[in-house]
Amino acid sequence: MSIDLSQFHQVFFEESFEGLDVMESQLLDLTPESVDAEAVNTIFRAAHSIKGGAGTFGFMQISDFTHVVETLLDEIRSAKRPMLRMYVDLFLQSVDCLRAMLSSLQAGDTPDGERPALLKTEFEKILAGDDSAAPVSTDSTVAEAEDVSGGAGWRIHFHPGQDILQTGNEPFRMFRELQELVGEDSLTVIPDTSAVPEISSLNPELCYLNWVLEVRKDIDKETLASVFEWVEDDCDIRYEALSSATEDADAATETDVAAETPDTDQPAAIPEAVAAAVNAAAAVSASQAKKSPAKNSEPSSIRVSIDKVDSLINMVGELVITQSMLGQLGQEFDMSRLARLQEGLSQLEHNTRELQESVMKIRMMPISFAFSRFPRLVRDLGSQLGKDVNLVMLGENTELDKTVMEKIGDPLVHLVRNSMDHGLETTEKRIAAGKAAQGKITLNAFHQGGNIVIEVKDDGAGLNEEKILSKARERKLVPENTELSAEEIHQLIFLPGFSTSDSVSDISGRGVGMDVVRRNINELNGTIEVQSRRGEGSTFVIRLPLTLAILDGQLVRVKNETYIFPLVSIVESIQLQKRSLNHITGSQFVMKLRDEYIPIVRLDNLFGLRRKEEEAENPMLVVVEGDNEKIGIVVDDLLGQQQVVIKSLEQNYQRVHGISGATILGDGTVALIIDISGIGKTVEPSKTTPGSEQAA
Amino acid sequence: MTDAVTIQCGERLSIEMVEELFSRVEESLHNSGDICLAGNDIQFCDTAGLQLILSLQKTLTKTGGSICWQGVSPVLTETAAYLGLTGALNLSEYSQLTD
Repeated sequence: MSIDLSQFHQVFFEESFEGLDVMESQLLDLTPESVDAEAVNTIFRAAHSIKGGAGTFGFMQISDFTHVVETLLDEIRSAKRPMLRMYVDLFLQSVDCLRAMLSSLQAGDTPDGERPALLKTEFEKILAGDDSAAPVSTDSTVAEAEDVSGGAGWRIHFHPGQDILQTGNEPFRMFRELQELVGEDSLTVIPDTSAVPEISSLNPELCYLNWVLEVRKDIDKETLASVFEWVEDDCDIRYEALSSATEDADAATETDVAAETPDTDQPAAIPEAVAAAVNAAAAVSASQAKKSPAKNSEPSSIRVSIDKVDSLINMVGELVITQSMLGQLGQEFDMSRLARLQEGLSQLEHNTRELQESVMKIRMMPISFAFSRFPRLVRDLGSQLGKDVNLVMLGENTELDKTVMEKIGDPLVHLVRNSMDHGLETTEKRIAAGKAAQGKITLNAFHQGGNIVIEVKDDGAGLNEEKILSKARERKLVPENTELSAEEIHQLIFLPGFSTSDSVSDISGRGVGMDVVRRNINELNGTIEVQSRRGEGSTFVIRLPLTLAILDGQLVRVKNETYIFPLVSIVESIQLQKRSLNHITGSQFVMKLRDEYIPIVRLDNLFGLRRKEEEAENPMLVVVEGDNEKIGIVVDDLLGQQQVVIKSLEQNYQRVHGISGATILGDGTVALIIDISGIGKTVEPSKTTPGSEQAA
Repeated sequence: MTDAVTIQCGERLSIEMVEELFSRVEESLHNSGDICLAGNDIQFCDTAGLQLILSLQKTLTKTGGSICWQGVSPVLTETAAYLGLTGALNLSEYSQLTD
């Protein structure tokens, strides 16, 4: 009888990823001058387990590669050779390489063989006694570059991850920066549009484009790589040094090249080398497209402490006892036992609530899972930027829902990167300003009022309010004569399009949009705000619900329907004074609420519920805020507030504009949950800006 | 099918608006084989916005339809040029005019 080992693959992958996390964190804590023997043992054991598991399941690429890692570790732990800084760097690169190989295998793909082969050669050189072997640069950004000077120039194969647009890393900003770096005449941008689907299959927020960028200038690779440093983890970037021969060959056909019209329907117009590269890009893209569903369909799992499982079993036991008691009561029921029935029902409600809480707790994980990537990120970015940074992490055991945790990772990375690059000053500037030479970034998580609060704090230069305001006025985001408080100015950095390379706030910059960070957080029903003091630093405060499965909602009535507004989005609710409405255009109204005009949306119109004879006598206006814009939504009546369990409309029916989900109320009816951002998009942006409203 | 439908791109042809524009484009596709895009008001656009237009163009080409531009803004041509999409989006003539 043979056992199907594939059923254990998922467990192997999970354990291996955990082992790599352990290796990485121990390596980051290692000081080569005074090595802790137990730390080396821990790293060795993790590598050994991965090698053993990989061998058992037939993942020979993993086991072969881990073997050389393990051998060097063994020599270090048995004091045959000392731990050197270059070894730590090499081990860290191996951790990255193993992670990439495991991810490929988990997605059902074949791992890339080139990177592990390069690293393995370095290990073998060291093991053979050649300590001059420097850690290889096997990062994906430089894997194929043979020449660091690029005398004739570079061909950059840029294959962004599909979610690059959602993370705010905008390709045109990177290309603009590249053009500013090398000059317009030295850069040719060749897009590959072949993977862009037709409208029916398009997800408009995903990126289907790839590019080949040709830089014909003598420039070093590191300078080029700095343009893409924000995205190198999320993209496939290859740098190919252009040889003179390549350049000559390309020059011969250059007149045929429609540099900006590289329609892939016309491959003959593209030089052979570029066409090959574009085709390779298409192949990579196709392989990624093929890989994605496999990855998405991979069943994810969580490890649950035995205490939580025991608690759940106890709850179920209590429920069974109560159910049994009620069953018996039902068989012999007479009115004299009414009190016992009521007591039993009350017990049932209590048990159900506790069971619900216990089940929810199973999905709760300590935020240390999300924080664990930051020591490495800060270490690597610190050495790239030449900044000495101390990362302090507090509240690592604070728990939040697994799904929320997975989705908050990228925004946190953006915030930490921004703080590293734009928040913290250089050592020289810090010393000149009388500060400690070492900068400090603090990540802090704690529970507050049913939410989790995550703070990203730096002791850098703080936001430059004058420059932010000046930039906002230049872009007509703020009318010339409007005075804003410091807090209001800080909020401007979250406006769409504000954070560009030529914006001059101290925390924003190249390609990283704070508006996208905020949008991602808003999508989790969370909020973000910034507190900053010039010269003292900035703190970004993120507030998130503990779970996405349950929402604190305000029930409202519109005609005969009940809708639910997320409580976190409601600013205030007031009686609608029809005379205070101003007509703008078509059916669009605005209302002056204190000092600002807010656009008005009628849910009955929007969802086609309106019937004139049923106009409510005293309609209410619920003022909500989504994407930093206030909107007034007209409803007939405010009902109660309650926690609702969110059901996906997309999974059970289809996506509906303006609706984020549904829930089942106590009386069994279905109520739809309003998507505040979606409703906001139905209002034309020009009608939400103070200038245009006043003009109207 | 009826005559060409005109879609106003508005002031922002960018990721936060693509969902809404996507809905309008989908609706227009049901009604017409040719679509004209009014891009003269565009004050900001990005890759997501231009990619949507590329997708629309691909869809129409397959069904024998086409897109045309009813005015383009300098921001539109500039962003398309940075992304190397001037030709693919039929913006070459406007690009020369605004250079």
